[in-house]
Amino acid sequence: MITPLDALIAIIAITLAIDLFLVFRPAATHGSGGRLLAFLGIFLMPLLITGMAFDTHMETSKQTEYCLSCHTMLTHGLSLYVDDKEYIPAVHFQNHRVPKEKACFTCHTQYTLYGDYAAKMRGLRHIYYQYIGTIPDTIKLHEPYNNRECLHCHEGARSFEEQSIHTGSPGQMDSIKRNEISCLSSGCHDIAHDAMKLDRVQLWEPYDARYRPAWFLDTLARSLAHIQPSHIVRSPAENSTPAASPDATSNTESN
Amino acid sequence: MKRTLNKLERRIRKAAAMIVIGLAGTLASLLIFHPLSFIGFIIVGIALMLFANVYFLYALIRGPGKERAIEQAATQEVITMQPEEGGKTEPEIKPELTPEYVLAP
Repeated sequence: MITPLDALIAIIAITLAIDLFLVFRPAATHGSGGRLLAFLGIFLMPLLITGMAFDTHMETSKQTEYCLSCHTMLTHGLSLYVDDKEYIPAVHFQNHRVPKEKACFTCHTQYTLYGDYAAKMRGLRHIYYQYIGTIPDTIKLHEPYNNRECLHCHEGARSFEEQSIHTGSPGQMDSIKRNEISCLSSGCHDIAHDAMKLDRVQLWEPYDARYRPAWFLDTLARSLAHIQPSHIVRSPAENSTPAASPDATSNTESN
Repeated sequence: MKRTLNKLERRIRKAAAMIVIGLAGTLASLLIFHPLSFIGFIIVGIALMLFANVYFLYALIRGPGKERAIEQAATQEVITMQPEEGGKTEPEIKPELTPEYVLAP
């Protein structure tokens, strides 16, 4: 099956051939056919390739592995495997509330017009800190987490709308939706990654090897050597049938 | 005889060369899974290709330059210098060429 990347590489190869021809035989542009070739090879196709390659890079940079390719972020990635339903990112990740391959981006983008590009501009700053600047000791959000990102999925969901804690007092739901009451910092869902305390929590190791990505195993092996094996909770399915779903764990989302 | 390239063709060659480098950078950035590949794509790929695009348009606007104009003028003069019916030669258009515009044989 031809992937978009394969198609893009094929277009690049064709354009390269045209441009190399023009470099060695520029006199070919003397005729109208040559001029058309030059217009295609120097103007039209490079523009098309720039757009397609930019989109491909944007999609690549949304991948969980891409975010965790910086060593600093590995502990945040590992926090997705915390065996505690109080950890909001872990609950979402382990129960497939967010796509596993885009786990970071799904919650850390802005659901606004050009929100994806704003997130990637912040990513450029992260790259600057990683390679040129100084990485801060504590990694914090650039700005308080906006309820908009939570409500992108939860708004209108029965489990959210009927939750008594959300509708407990008059106008509470409206305050949540207007971002006047923060989901994360109002004492309700206030444990996010908490990456500095990973040595005090238990981790869940999925039974299915497909859900134990390389970065997870690497991090376990190298970055957090101080985590004792006894802190890793293996899926109950490991001792029973191999066909168990990774969702069948004790760590299920309550709302 | 090897024909010398006019300015338009030379500029097209330069633009094509920039596109080749930009495409090579873009291809490398697509095949390497690394955060810096995105930066490399922006710096090498986008910058070079967009600059080459603009340079190509500039080349089209500026045209072939003086050499081509001289070629055209010389051709036009040859045409107008054809003898008429009465055998009298009357050049209609006689472009004034300064010495620096005269083509070498």
